[in-house]
Amino acid sequence: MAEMEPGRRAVAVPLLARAAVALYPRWWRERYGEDLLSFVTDLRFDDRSVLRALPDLVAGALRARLSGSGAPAMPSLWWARARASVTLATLPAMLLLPLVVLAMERGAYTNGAGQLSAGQRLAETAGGVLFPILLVTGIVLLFGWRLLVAQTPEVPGGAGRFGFEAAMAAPVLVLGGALALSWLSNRLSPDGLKSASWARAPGTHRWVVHLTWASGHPLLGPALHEAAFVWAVAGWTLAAVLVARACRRAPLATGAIRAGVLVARLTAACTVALAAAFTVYALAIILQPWHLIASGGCASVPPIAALRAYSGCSALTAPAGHTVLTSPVSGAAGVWIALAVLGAVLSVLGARLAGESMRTAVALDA
Amino acid sequence: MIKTRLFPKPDPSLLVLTSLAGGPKHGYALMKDIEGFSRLTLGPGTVFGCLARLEERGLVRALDPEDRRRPYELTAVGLAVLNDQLDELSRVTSTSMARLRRRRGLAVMPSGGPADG
Repeated sequence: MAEMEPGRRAVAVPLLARAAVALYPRWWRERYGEDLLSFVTDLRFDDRSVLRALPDLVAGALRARLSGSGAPAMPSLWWARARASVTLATLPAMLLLPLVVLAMERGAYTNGAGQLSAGQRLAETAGGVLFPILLVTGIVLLFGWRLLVAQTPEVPGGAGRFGFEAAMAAPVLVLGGALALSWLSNRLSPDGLKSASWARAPGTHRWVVHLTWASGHPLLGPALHEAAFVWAVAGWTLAAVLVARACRRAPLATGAIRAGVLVARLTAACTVALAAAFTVYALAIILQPWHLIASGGCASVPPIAALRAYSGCSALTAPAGHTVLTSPVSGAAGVWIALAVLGAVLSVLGARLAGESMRTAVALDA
Repeated sequence: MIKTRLFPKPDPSLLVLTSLAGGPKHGYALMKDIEGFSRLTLGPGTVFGCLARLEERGLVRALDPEDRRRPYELTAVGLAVLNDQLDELSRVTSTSMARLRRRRGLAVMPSGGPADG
């Protein structure tokens, strides 16, 4: 018979292990949750490392969520899974859009007859390709969500169609607010940024950027400029949260989920194209010869610091006979590329899971 | 001596089925048993991942919980599947062992080749 050793219940389950078990889907926790916690208790009782088991627990939670293996054959559970996968497929695209828009804000400093190198021309081309992909992604998201909303029944409490409509209005409000703040900032500083200089903070290894504004209010202009950025980032994140919440609370209407799966597939395709073009663009930007990136106004900045520290390089001037392309991605480009690739992977995964879950749900319904 | 593993580790599901062939066990007892005969330590996520897959396919079933821990046992289907898997594996291992033995036999023979008798 089973090997049991009484008296083991006295050992408490560590909080981290409980948190890891909480990562499993609900149906899994209902079925195996107690068993998992008992396993962890036994590990502690035998003086084995629970910390070492944590990665395996987390990986198990991911596998359970992705494969759905062992999930009960309940159509509602599989429809809910399809709905969650649609969210997983579309949210990364929504979060990637502003990042890519920000990255496309590029400039070129030419000094004399500055010619673009092959890499710089590639960056220009990839930057140009990004724009139509962004447009298509925006259209897919907008019309896709409209289609989804049209298929979603209204329910009392605003959890249905209203939730989606509020979530869709949020990005528009965010963009409108950011544009208004930027406009106000430019009005208060008609000539915009005049110069930027670098200095190492005394006694530290940090580089500090000093911005000088030509006219207008010395503080209000820059402050509004920064406020526009903060508003855009915070507002967009909030919009993504609203979309996720609306998806989570929306009723499980079969038609809406079918529309959602279609939107998820189209969005995933757009996100992959976006990530590919963006990666080419970012690599071409950062692979410019470093002396071009760190020349002129940034001459005093070591090349590695120039790549990491300040993304804008607004004061950059090119040496004679050279052109320098600047972009926000020239700062921490690795992070930008990783985010784009991660977004594409999540989106594709979400679309695949949405399709699979919907097929299972349809089969169970039949 | 070659220290790197050329072939993948045995499938955890096969290890779980092999362990359950010795009698019903709960998750932790399974892990300890597998550690004993294969020197591989499976984590809780892997053990219960396997149990979920095997249970879904009807190869194992859960018994009534004892002290909050549910023991699992092999079903008749599970037993048959394990038998088939081990048959396949044993054909490979017995052939491999026989050939290795023959090579070892050749290796200890005189350099002139097999003895004339």
